[in-house]
Amino acid sequence: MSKNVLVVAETKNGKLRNVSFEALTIAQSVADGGEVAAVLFGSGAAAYLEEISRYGAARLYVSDHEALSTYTAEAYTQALASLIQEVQADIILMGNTAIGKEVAPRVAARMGMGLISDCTSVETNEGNLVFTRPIYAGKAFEKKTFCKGKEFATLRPNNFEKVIKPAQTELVSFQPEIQDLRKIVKEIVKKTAGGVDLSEAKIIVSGGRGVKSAEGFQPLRELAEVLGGAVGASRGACDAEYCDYSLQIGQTGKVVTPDLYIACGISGAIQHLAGMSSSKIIVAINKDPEAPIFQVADYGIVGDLFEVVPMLTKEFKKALVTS
Amino acid sequence: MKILVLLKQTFDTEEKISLQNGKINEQGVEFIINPYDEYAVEEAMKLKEELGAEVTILTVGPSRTESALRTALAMGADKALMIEYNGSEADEYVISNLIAAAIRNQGFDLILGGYMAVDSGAGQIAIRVAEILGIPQIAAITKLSIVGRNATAERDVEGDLETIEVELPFLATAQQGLNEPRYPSLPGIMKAKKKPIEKVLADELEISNEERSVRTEILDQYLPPKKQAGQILTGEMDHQVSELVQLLRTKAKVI
Amino acid sequence: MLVFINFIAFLTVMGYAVYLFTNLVYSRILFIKLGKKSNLKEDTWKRVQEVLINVFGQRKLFKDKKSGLMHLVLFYTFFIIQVGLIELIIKGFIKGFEFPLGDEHKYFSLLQEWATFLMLLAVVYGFYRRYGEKVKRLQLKRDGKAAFVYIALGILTSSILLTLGFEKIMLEHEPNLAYAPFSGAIALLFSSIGSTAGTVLFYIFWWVHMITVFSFMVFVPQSKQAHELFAMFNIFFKKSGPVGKLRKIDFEDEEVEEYGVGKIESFTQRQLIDFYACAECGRCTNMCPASVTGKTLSPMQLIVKMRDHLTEKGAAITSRSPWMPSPIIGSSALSPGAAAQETASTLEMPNLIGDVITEEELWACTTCRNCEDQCPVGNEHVDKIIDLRRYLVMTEGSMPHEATRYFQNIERQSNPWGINRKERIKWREECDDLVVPTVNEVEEFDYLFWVGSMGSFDKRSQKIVQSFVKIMNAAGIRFAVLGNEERNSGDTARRMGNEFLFQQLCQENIVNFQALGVKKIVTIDPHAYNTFKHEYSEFGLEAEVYHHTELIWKWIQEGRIRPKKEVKESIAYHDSCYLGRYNNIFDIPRKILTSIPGVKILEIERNKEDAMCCGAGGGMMWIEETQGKRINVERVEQALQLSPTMIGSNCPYCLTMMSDGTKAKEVEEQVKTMDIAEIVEKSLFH
Repeated sequence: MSKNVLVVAETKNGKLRNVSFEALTIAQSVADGGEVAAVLFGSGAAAYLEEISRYGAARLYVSDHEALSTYTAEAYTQALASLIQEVQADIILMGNTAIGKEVAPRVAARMGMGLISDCTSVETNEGNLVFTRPIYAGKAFEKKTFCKGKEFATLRPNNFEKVIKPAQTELVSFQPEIQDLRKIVKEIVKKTAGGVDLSEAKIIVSGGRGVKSAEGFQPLRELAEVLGGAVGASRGACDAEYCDYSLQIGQTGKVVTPDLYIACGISGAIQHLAGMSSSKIIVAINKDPEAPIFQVADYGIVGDLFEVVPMLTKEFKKALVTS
Repeated sequence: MKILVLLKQTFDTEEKISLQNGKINEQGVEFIINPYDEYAVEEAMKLKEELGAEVTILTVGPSRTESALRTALAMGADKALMIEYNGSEADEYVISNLIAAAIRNQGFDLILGGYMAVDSGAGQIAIRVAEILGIPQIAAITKLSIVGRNATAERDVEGDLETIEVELPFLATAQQGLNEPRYPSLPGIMKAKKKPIEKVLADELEISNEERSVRTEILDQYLPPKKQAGQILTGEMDHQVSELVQLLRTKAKVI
Repeated sequence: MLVFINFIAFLTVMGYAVYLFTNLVYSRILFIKLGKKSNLKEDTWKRVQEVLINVFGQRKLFKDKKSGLMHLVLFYTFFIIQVGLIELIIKGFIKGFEFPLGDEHKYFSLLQEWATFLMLLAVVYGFYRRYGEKVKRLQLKRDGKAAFVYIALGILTSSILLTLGFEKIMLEHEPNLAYAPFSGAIALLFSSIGSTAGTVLFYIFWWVHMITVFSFMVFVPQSKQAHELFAMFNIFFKKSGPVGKLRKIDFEDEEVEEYGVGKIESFTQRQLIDFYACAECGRCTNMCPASVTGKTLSPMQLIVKMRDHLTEKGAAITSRSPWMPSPIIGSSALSPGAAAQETASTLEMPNLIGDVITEEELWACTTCRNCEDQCPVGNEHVDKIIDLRRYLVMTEGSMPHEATRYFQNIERQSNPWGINRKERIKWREECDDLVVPTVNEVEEFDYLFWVGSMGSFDKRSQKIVQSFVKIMNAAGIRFAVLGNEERNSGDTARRMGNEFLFQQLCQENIVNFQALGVKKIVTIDPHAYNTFKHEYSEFGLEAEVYHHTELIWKWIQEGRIRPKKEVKESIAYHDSCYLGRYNNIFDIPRKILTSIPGVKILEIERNKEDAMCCGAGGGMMWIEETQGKRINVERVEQALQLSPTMIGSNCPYCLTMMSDGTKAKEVEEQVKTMDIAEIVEKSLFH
């Protein structure tokens, strides 16, 4: 049975987000002959038409409504809800991004729909879509499906393939009714890499006594910047005054749970592990192959951090540019 | 000011997950207040101390969740409302309808909740409630200040910092970094024993059958393949480095 | 007639002074009575013994030999001079009066002369110690009162000799230099002035002496000299039982609204005597690891600040003036509590915690008891700090966030890190070749081995556990561990002020021990050892408790194990506070080390009773040390002065601190850090 799929695309820093392409790709596979459309909010959205067309959307909805020029969840919600009505979408997909996390539940509530958020895979089983999502911080998974109404899911970024499938995409302008906004976005501060708060950072590059000096943190800072992460430290490094105590991670410092924790020159005393062992992926770089940090690490490199870290920075720079 | 905090009881984050009959096993598990909700409770307490407020805690769940409510009351909340619901089949759609039905027309000026629950990780309920009640929301706040009817909040947007102004009433969800939750004092624990917990059965709440019927269902819960022992990379250093970048991007998918 | 006027004048001065003195002392007794009643167990004879040793024996004072000798002289000459004072008073009314001792009076005279002279010498030496030599601990508090003591005692003693000297001129007696060497010398020196001038000078110095005596008497209760009155009672009423044992709180009592001490009158009366007993000698602060490393906490200031606060608040509550005569003492800079008189309302009183004592001070204490061990008047600083922490933690719920994290982790997972409690036994996986049964895996066992959280989860401490297990296996000991059933001893929670959590853990542990029929417990953790041994009994534990060093020594003596392999190390041995000062176990670890061939023990300057804390006690292991220098680094530096090849210890917390310290000093390659069990194991097997 063919289904109309609506993909809510998003830009970040002037570029379409990777997850939007992933969603478009998934949309193709679940539409089952139905129409795949995309919507992009915000001024100047039409400029992305060509890029959207590479991923097979039949239509791109854009709106120059003033209320949509800067993001607010309330305005986006109203616009998206009316568009879902208008295009009679059966399936709605968007990224589980900061915007997706706010807008999707609101739209679902507004329209009385279910929502399966943060999916890491989508498959079809006897004609039904089955969504897989991590629970308990990735310690388990669940498969969910819809039993009523429209199907609405948000996708965890960078978990799906994106397949190029050029199409003729028609640009359609729409004018939603948006009212009663009681919220003002006053200011958005783009934080530089160094400014990312440790406790909220998704990626942390952390240094221990092995960095040997305050200057020794420089390569770590550079790596963190490339990854958009924050710099942390073990108590040993703080004690030795290589860095400020506000960066300390561990039993008596901050407890962090980033997606990626890169421990450089940290031996891994229990006091430190208590602050970071719940990180999703731990990478250890240490000269001493016996260091306890390797016992909790997912990936380890035995080597001199002053050699390895700059190489990593270079490699990531390369990899992130090409994606 | 009337503040409502939405709270969920979850597994202690250190608990091991095991399965029983295809479902997550709750036997012998240490339960805590969902850490993000604990920030919300703490924030409510700080506002109460600063501005004066009546703080109500609301939860939906089986009878075991009462202990989480007592802890929140011990932290200083004034009363609690427990929507007793024993089944596991309710989805976010139904639960948010139940909550909205229970609190509608009660005149809460501020609703606080956690950014997400560490068990389901869905992050839907609080925001759905805001929409059903027709009030604005600010998700993932790291700072909140209220003067009169005006609030200013800072929120974490994928590492960027957004400053939002809004008028009461509104809903906000708490992100890590908002505050350091307090340890309940002993008199607080004693007083909490005497504070009222209003219990209402989910079936007794006035919502339509349509609002009661789930939109999604869980087909299966399972454990991931056992986490592999750490992998120490070998070979030439430049090879190791590029392999690591590959692994992080394609296998671990964290970048 | 003149004699009569003199007599009346004297009686007036004395009467006024005695009135002021009793009034001042009585006020202070009333202030002390504001405190809660304390339970005093009988033990009278033991208490008298304590007084004999510490007051008349001046035992603690001799921890500083120079000051000790000075004080001993002051103490005994003071009593001797009091007898002479009676005679001297009467001399003012009856010319040439002497006690009717007949010919023997010359010996009395000799005794008085020397006592007075020695006291003068001691005063001059004391003055020199404080202002010339500038002994560090005596510089902690600089006010007019300390100087006044030297000046008053100086005048007091010299005026005796001068009075007696001029008496001889007045009476035209030939000075007898053999039995009145000092006053006789004065008489000789001034013999030319004649009897009339001698008479005038006699009365002048007689009055100088009397006025000084009475001024000093009035001064005593209003200054640190109050210790002359209160120290003896403080020692008599001191808490009996094991040192450092904490008071149990009754949580069944539903009337209680305040747990711990949030206001000064919530201390017990016994605790309040401490304040007036303090002589401000600074011995406590001098040894305090927090003070030494530049933290705000100073045990002496803690006591002094609380004393002044008690005086101020007591004055307001009882509407009594603590300063007399107030125009002189109340308004002068001599008295820190002068403001009390203007603010006679308790409402305007500063808060005990926050204003008088800061939270920062309270969270700097490692509960090492070095201060208490030093204190000549038997003050207990640690139980007060813990009472104040109890208030913060249990009544207010206010504490450093690391403490919150610690308590929650203990509550949920029974270990400080919050690691899953089902992983407690995991350390056993590393012990394939060893016999380590859990209580469920054996029929019978002699010793329950309490591994502790450090031993179970901390990689480094696990090695101590492995060594001790190897030793037990070699000695053929039947033991068992609790495995995942083991919880937390609660000691640290108790020292951090969370008595409620401690009692929960304590009761659960005891139920568990009883169910298993545990008769003997051994542990590698001196903290668990101390609380099991001395504190659990109050909650019903009836087991023998051993520290692993005690048993290792026993097994060596019994020949069960023989350390025979040479361990060529120069070991700086660090005494842990909870095995050492708390339990007086200093020799056993040293005997063990001596029995190992090749080992050379090096004594750190501060050792045994005076050993400085590693910095981890009292929960400080779990709270960040941000102020001043790190205690563990200081302690390691003390050890490094001996150029050891190893630092030995008997406690997993100490070991962590010592090994972090060697890393901080970047000597971890040259100086190893090891527990005694590990050193013994090396000597048995390697």
